[in-house]
Amino acid sequence: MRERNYQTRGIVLKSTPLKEADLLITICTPRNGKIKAVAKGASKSTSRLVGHLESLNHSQLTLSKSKNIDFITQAEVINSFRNIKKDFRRLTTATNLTDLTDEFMIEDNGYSRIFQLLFASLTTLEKPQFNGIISPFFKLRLLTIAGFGPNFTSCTICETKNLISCQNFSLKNGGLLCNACATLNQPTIYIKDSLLQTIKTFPLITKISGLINIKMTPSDIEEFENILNVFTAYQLDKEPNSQKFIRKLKQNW
Amino acid sequence: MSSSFEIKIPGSSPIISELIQHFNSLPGIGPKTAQRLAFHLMRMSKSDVESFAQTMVSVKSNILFCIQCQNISENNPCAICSNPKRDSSRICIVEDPLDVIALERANCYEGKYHILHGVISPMNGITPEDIKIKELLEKIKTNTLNEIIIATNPTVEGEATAMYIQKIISPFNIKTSRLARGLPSGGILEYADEDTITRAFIGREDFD
Repeated sequence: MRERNYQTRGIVLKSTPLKEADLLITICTPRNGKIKAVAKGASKSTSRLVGHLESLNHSQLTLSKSKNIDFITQAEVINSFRNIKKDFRRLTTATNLTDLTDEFMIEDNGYSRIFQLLFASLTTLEKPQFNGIISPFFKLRLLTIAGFGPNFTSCTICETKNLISCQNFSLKNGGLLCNACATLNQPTIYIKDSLLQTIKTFPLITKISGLINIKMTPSDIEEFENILNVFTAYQLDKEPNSQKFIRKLKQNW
Repeated sequence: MSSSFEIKIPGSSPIISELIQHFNSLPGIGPKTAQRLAFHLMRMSKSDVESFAQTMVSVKSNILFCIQCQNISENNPCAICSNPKRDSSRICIVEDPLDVIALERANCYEGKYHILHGVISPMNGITPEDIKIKELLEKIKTNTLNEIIIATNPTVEGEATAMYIQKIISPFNIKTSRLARGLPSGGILEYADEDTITRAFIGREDFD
């Protein structure tokens, strides 16, 4: 007989109110992929689950299987990433990461690498020194793991690797175009040469600790992130809410 | 009708089906509850139903936003803002009108309010422009205030909103406070999360 209860740890991606005092929790787990589960009565201040299921929390959970949806019966926070939640900039960055995880992760599909990536990124964001490079690194790795990784090593049309002074990035083809292909095809995003050389080293880094060797100016980080944001929105066919939020915030303030 | 699907009840008249759909469009009401409510209305006396319908219509046509606190009210300014006994030098910032009802029920605050009608939420794309923060800044500029109490919910979005408000009002040099966080009445220490316990310890009180 199939086990009715199961345990997992996970990072809370989203929490949505449901009925009178219930919450629908979206969790990124290491083995079970993305899970959506109901936490009964979790909005009440006296609930045993309250506080343990806040967004961004890394928690140990016990879930009960049901016909349509699973229910969270027990929860205990492992790390609440308190430093992230105390700082507006870190919080908006972290929310952008969890939002993208939610968009690219499929339910009940074991993407342990996505969990590891999110967990490592949040752990780095939690550290006292804010590292702006985390966000573009996360986005590039997430796109790669999900199968949408942009190609920065060869022309996406003629596959030539001779890309000296080729700075054309095509959204439609998902990568660089050589100068000959770029003139024959649709408009592309221009990437300046110095930035492109740095970007090319990114796919070689698979762990966050490797970022220590990358030197980028804040404006280069922003430009790289903007390219990834446009590419992500193109792949998803919509601009993720958190991305829209950050863009509006930058425009108005 | 905003409902995305039509409920068809065999043997039922179109007007009853329409009423059921209207009930079904309300938050937290599923098709079965909508049916029960519709048939309950039919069992009610005609005068009761008329009074109920009139109240619903008048709520929509007579209710407006108070120019001072942004609360929903029949009068402008609302009963709280026009009460001379309330302390005008203190304002308590809350997320929505239901929070004002909860705070008024507790009967522990005699100042005035400002209702944001939402919270800043990166996950849902709600920016400061989408809630009543501009009105709050206007109020701070035009009134003499001694204290601003930020009473947004202790959730990630509520904290983000509190942090944002604290940042934009800091140039005005007004005392700003945040509602305390700690163990709730009836709660069990064993099940409390680490953040709540830490804050409860920090905010511990001496016995009188």
